[in-house]
Order: sequence, then C-alpha cells, then structure tokens
Amino acid sequence: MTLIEKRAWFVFAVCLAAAATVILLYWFTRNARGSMAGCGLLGLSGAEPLIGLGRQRRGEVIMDERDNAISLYGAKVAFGTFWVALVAAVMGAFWIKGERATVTLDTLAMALMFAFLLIQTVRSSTILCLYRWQRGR
Amino acid sequence: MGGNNGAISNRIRRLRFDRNEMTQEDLARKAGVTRQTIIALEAAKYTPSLELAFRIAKAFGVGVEEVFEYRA
Repeated sequence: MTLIEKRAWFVFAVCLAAAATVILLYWFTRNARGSMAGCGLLGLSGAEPLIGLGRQRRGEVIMDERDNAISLYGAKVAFGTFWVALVAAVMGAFWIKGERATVTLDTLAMALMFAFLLIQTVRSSTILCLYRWQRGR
Repeated sequence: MGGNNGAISNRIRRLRFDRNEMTQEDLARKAGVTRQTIIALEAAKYTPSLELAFRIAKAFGVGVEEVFEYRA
C-alpha cells in the first residue's frame, strides 16, 4: 500500500467517524446544532501529513508521479462535487425559501462543516478507487 | 486517469525476466518510483511520463523504444 493510499484510508476513516458521530448525536439529542459537534472529529484529518514521516526519513521513494497524478485527480473530483452541491443547495434554497430569505449563522456553520466533510470524503474515496482500479481489481 | 486504452504497450515484465528475473522492487529503486507504479505499468493501467519512460529504459540499459511501443 502506498503512502497516499494509507493517508486516504486515514482521512476516509476520520470522515466516516465524524459522520457516524453526528448521526448518533442527533439520534439521541434531536438537536441539529448540538450534533454538529461530531464534525469536530474532522480536525483529526489535519494529522494526514504525519503518516509516513518515518519512511521519508529513511530516504525511501514513498511518492512518485503516479501518486501525484492520483492525488490531483482526487482533489479535482472533490471540488467538482462540492461545486455541484453548492449550486444545488443555493438553487434549492432560492426555490424553497425565496430570494429574500436570510441564512442564520448556525445554518452557515453547518453548511461549511458538511462541505468540508463532503470534500474530504469524495477526495479520499476517489483516491482509494483509483488505486484499486490501477491494481486491476 | 493514467490509463492508456491499449495505445501504449510495454515489455517491462519481459525485460525484467531477461535480466535474471530482476524484481519489481529493484526496478522501482533504479527508476526512482514505488513498486506499486511498476505493478500498474506492467498491468497497462498507467501510462508513464516521458521522463519516467526514459528512466525505466535506462534502468534496463536499452532505448526507450525497446521498452515502450505506441500503436496508433
């Protein structure tokens, strides 16, 4: 397993844990704003670059042009998905609430957390799919 | 992404075999890539950059056209 693949698994696991925590918190509290605390787990994804530091120090080739290409492709798919979701959310809000409606800070914060969760989940899962496909499975 | 749709084929596996069954790890070290990239190349799932193609050819001590073949 390559370094980028390990990192993608880590981020994917963090995203799943965060999503599961949000759902569980909402299940027990029925409080949408409070349950967003589960998204705090997404901060763990900041530890992604620490994975594989030991191998880097030993001077091994841990990343090459193929890994960079896969990472870049994952980022492109993630931001493409985010853009489609953003446009759909804005258009949907206009359609349901009308152009004169306002957005509370709570809603904005929740939307940002969901956007980050979406981007990280799509990015990591795309990377994992590409590695799997290139192994011919 | 990175697939070659069958237009570019390579003889990496054959060349490794001809050189006392050079391991994928050895070739990866000589070419400066990961072993997984060699696996993807042998499975024709990834098309290398021109620079990597030359590095692989150099690792075998042959010309790039002896490793890679383009079929239009």
